[in-house]
Amino acid sequence: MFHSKISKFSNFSQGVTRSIAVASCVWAMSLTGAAAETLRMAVPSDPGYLDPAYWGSTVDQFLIDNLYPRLAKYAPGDEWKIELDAAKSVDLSDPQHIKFELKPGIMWSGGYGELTAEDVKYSYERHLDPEMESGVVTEYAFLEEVEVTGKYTGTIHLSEPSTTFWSSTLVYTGGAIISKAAAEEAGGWFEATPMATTGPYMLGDFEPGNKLVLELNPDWTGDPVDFDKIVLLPIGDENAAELAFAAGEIDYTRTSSGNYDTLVANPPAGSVIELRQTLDPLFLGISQTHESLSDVRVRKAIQLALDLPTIIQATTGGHGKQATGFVAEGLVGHRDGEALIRDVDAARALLAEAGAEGLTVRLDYTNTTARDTAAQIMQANLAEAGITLELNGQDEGTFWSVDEIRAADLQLHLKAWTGNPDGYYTMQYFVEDQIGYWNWEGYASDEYVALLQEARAATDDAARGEIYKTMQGMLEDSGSFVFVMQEPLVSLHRDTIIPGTLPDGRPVFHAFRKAN
Amino acid sequence: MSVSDTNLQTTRGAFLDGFLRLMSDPMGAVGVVLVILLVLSAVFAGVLSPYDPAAIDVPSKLQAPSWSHWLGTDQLGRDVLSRALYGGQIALSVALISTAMAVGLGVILGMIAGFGPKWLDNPIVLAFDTVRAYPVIILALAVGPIFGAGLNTVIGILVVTSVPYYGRIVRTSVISASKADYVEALMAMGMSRARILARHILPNIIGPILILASMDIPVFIAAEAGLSFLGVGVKPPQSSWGLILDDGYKFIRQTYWLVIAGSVPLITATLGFTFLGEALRDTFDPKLRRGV
Repeated sequence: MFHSKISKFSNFSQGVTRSIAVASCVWAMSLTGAAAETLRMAVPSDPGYLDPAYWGSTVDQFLIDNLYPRLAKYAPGDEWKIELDAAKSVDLSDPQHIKFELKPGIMWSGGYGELTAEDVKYSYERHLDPEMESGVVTEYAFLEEVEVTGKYTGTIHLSEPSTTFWSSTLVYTGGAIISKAAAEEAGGWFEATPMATTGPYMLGDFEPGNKLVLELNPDWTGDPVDFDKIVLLPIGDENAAELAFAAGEIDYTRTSSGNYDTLVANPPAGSVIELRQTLDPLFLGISQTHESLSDVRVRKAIQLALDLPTIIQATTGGHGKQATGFVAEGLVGHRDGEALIRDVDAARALLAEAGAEGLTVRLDYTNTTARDTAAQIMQANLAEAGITLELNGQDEGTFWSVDEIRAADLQLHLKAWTGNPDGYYTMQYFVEDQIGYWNWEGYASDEYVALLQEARAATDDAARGEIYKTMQGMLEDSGSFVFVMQEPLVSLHRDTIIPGTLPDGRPVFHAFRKAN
Repeated sequence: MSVSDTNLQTTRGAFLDGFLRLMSDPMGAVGVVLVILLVLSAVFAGVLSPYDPAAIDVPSKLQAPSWSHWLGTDQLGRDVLSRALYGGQIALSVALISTAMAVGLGVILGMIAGFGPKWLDNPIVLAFDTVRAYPVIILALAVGPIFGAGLNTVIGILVVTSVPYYGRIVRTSVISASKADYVEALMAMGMSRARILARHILPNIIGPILILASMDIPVFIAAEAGLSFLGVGVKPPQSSWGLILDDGYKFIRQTYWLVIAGSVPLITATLGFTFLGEALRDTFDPKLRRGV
């Protein structure tokens, strides 16, 4: 099971992470130096898996998005816009048969030759191999085959028309293309050391817990980049990263929006502070497969007991807005005016009705300052309703590692997923096949699956949006989901650099520039 | 007047004499006063705390000290003074329970090693040395995630890592005492080893051990704060000086009051118990007593 493979990589205790964060940053800097052409960036953790079939953490996603080609991808900038990447052209006129032509001359690092349509076929079809146990198999469930029609051309055949396969899979992280030759040489899958990548940067020195260096790819023939080297420093807590920034040890970091006002009032010298709205949904999952939470009345009691506006105020300083679902405001399928309203008396009544007074449950979360703050407020909220909440903060790697034992033991889990402009991306994971993998809530509904299918085929945005709204309502009604917010994000960088990011603040390494 | 009345009076006299000598030492007097203040503030935390230490008031978060919040508020708007007072309860509980358990187990194992069957001596000493080879913090970080953070884990870690320290000292003292003529005489009279240990050797060695234990209390208090700071110790909503310090570290750019509020009681407690322990040692150890 791929989750058990992932779990091998992440067993640092929360204490270790916290205590070595700044120290490791300083040490790494003493080793790497701080040359003008080096960009030093704080990231939440080490990468776990750089095989697109198994990615799990934020850092995995950053690296996969930056190291591998896709047919097309979201462009850096302030608006969500898709631009061609490895593809010279893509024909989307038939949503069941997508034709593509690759740009010639894109070379794999490590001497693995040129990127061809065979690589595309291998990269996509491998997710369907049951032995692979790909983590993104759900995204590829309707792929029939990739027909190679020439060295650079091919047709992607789907079993049914799907508009979302393009927007939420092929241009997203799961759509990464890998080198067939390199992957087969590695035995079909790999961990954090890919043998071949494309793009201006390639993986250099990797010291787990200390640093990961991206170096210039000597085979890169595209546009030049401004930085010869990017050093990624794992600093788990955003406040620790902020201190490292203030100490001059890093050039770019993302930090909690709760610190925005303080940073603006008292900015570190030579810094630029930016506040962005991400698409990343922060939500509380409640596992209905766990014995103590199997009664929907208990789950709904937890929903009603939570004071979400206070949690948002405390963690974002008022810069966040309560979510109504997985789809962010302004996007297709966003629900208006459906935010949960706290009612402690109703929560108590539901618990009494379910015979669950005196309930004790455990909350798992990543132990950053913002999550810990949210968790403590949830603990106090639930205590008012008569529920004892045990807090279990974990480092990012441990939190995202799920094997069969942990999957069965999950109760409450506060987590943010990376969002996609198309809400389908997130909602496709709440199906029966994903229970124990990404569907930690254990949600399963035939009606929901039918709506998913309907959404895939919908070519009209308005119609698809209505389906998304219904689906989000169903998820909330199940009691297993508490939509907290789409997290705002603060980035902090030196005024000597101009960050290159997607509209939600995710870094696009090659787009970072020196400020003149 | 009976013999027992005379003994009681002698004991009382010795205690009073010792206490007066302790108070005549400025370091001892400061230690006694600080420890008494600390104990009283912890015992009466419920009365002295102006607020519920777990009461969240987000609009009042990260406030500087004021008349309504003497030590300010934390990131959740909780009153820091109340949390510091309740943190004292935790610190003292951990220190006293850990010390008592470590001394108790250390004395038992040390006596068995020093005066028990010969074949048991080496395994016990080997176990002591094995445990002592692990630095406390590293052991805590390894064990914490397995058993889960919490008060019991902290106490367990402190006891396990301290027992060898006391056990080693007791073993050496017992071996030394067992060579005394009176012990050989008692053995010749057929008295059991257990009885000799309990009735004759233990009373002779326990005094210095208790003084050592009193000097370890501040170490345990600091260790609890350190482990809580690292996330292995006390968990919310309980309060701990280490947790206050941890919050202070996280929000140091917003306010420095949390660091002060977490560190002042920690420093005070450490100084108080250290002064008291050293003064006790000076007072009751004949070799160190002034003028002797």
